[in-house]
Amino acid sequence: MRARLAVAVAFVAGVVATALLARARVAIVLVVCEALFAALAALWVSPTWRAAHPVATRLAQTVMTVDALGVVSAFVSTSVNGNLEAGVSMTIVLLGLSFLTGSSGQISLGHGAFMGVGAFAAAIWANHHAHSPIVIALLAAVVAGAAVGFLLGLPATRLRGPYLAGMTLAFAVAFGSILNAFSSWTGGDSGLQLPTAVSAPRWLVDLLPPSDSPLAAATVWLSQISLVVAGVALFAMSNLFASRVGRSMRLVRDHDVAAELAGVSLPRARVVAFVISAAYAALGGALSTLVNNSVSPATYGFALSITILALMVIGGIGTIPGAMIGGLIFAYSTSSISWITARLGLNPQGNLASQLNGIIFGVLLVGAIVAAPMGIAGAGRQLARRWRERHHLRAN
Amino acid sequence: MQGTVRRRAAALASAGALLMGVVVTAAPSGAAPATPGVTATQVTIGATVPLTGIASQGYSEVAKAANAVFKWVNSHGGINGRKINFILKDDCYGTPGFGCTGNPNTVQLTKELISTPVFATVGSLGTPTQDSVRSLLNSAHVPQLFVNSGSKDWNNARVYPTLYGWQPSYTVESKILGWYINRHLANQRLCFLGQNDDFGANGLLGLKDMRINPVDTIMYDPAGLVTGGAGYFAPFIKKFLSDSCQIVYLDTIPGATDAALASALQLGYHPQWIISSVGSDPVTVAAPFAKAPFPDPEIGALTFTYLPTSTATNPWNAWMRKVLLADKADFPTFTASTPIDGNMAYGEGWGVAFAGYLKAAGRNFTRASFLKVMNSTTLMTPALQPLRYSQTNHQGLTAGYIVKVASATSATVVDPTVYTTSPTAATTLTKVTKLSMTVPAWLH
Repeated sequence: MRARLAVAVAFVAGVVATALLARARVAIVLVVCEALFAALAALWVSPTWRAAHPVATRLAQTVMTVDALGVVSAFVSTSVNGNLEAGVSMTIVLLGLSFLTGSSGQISLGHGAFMGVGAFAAAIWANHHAHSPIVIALLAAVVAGAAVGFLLGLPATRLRGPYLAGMTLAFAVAFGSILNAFSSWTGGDSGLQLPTAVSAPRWLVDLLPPSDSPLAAATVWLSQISLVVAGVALFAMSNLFASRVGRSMRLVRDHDVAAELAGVSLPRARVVAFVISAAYAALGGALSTLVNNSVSPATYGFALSITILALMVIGGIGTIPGAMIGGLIFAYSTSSISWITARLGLNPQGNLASQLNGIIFGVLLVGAIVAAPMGIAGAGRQLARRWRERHHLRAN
Repeated sequence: MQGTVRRRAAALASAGALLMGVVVTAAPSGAAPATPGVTATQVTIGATVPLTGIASQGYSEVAKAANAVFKWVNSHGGINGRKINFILKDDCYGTPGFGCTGNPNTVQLTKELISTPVFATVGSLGTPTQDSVRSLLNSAHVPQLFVNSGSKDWNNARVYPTLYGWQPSYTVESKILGWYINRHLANQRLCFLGQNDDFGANGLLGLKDMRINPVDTIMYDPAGLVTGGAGYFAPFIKKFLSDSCQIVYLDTIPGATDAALASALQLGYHPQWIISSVGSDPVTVAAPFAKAPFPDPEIGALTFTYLPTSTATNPWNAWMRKVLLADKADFPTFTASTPIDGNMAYGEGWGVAFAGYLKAAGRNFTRASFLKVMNSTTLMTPALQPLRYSQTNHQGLTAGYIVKVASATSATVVDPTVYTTSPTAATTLTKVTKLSMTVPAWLH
């Protein structure tokens, strides 16, 4: 009860502070966002409510995250928004891979290529249907990703372990040549540009400070779109993890014979996992095409697939926070590595600096495998549990 | 339990307070300046270039050499009272992977440059990378000047009125080399190895325009080179040998040139190499063979250049050396006897071009008036041919001469006549008589 009161007080204080602002329209939007946030938070703090309404809890969690990040994105620089967008796209891809590995126990070394399928599908669709809404292009990418996932998933019913990994590896390596073979569609080495750049709607431009350039407004708008899309993907995935499908997948992962005895069709479960996973990767790719307003084949080379795999392991396999942490690492890896290089005074073309990305990812990967097999998310969860236990003991 | 709830509430409250703080500080700032990136004392420009990653070897010097020119003019009073501030962003050639610091994103880096703001992007490098930002820069009305690539994509003034190329197109280059082949190496068997993109395709187009049909035509994938190294090229070169080609024409980047030369060396195959300017720079190509017990295998190869060779008598050579010697920050090991390699000359070439147009634009200019001046001013730069654009032609340079690699550090001119040709199917070459052989007084 006291908690709800505190939230209500914080909310009222926020409303008062906001109303004092000169820009009334900004205040209204903020009040709406805050009201939503506070209302959901008030529900969220109650453990009994959470236990009674698992789906609604997940929804509240998702809306709160999207809401908070959405408000913040309006106040940060173009470059931070760019990192946010990159991180969000990668989070979606990682959700897909996390589902495949964490739930069904299959390994994919080709998720960079699945991402590329979505990226190119969205670009090709947009180039042939210049006036179709963004949602349609994203859906087209999801369908394309799912279709390719299905095709590659079929052999997955017969292959296992390293053979399956080898097949996805082959796809990742061949992806560039496949794009080149269809260069009249994919634009060959130059890639594709979208016919029209996404621009911010009138109401958002009015909300932002008048000194903001159209580019800054468009960047904020793209962040909002990315966050909403990610929210939908996140909500669907969190339910899937907890659903019958998710449970049967985990059974397949842990003991396939037991799963078969329990009535789970192994081939079906494996293909379904592949399709869902590829569709998520494609959605992430389509989103980054939208954000970059273009797609280039070099982006979806083999190295990306390995990066994605490393990010998943470092973040935490099979968990949603793990995917988010992976996305965050991806978004800030470039700028933090150049920061380290500058700080250490390394020659950026020297042997050490130019391999720093590989070294840092390698160390993180090995460190995660040795010290925290469930990644940063798993380690965090474990620490929190231990802390809670100790706290509990002392209280007693 | 109570404690947890209270903490959570406190966290929420502080998050709310934080939000409010952000809102208050986000007050609208002052009016934007008349021309973005231009103040009373400074012009800010930027570029995305590969300072690290697979394409950085050699290419990382290009923008730094241009910046050496800017530093030179800045230390001599600037241009029309303004100094040039050049921001470089490392986009790793847009190719992620080992050897590249991070996950390159040309689009995001370009957005950062636009919001800096910069007056223009100048000398950004790469065909696919710059293709990916041309509509972005066009819609933001930011000029995209002197793209470092020989693709034809930069000469499309109708769709991209603020986009300008600089170096001769791959087709023009191979047409001039093709003309030389027809004249001096006629009736010899020629094999072609090119990069599997615009570079190889446009280069081959130029040869075909000159009625040259290679015995073998092989297109390589740069990714295969990354994973397979020189071994990836061995079967190609073996095929050229078994088809007894006397001439091997390469449309390759420097690393690929090295792989081809090494494969041939292993087979004891010594054809007449003809190499595109993109992958023939003697210093860059010789580097991997520096410790080998045999002479640089590139010696004797024919290539094309639109810049003065370091051994040519050209007043720009002394000037370029002076500028590089003055820049101790980016060229600390450059001495009076260090050879000026092709990448340095290339960067200084468009560096002078930007400084020159900025001078011609006068003290008061906008983006539109600057581009108008570009379209109507012929400029003397280190390139052999005076630089000239027009309202409809944004290609830039179109002429050069044939040179022969003479040592690990230099090339000599085979024929000092500078030729130009049209990128169309015409088979004729035109002599360029008015050359850029004087360093303007304001650069001294």
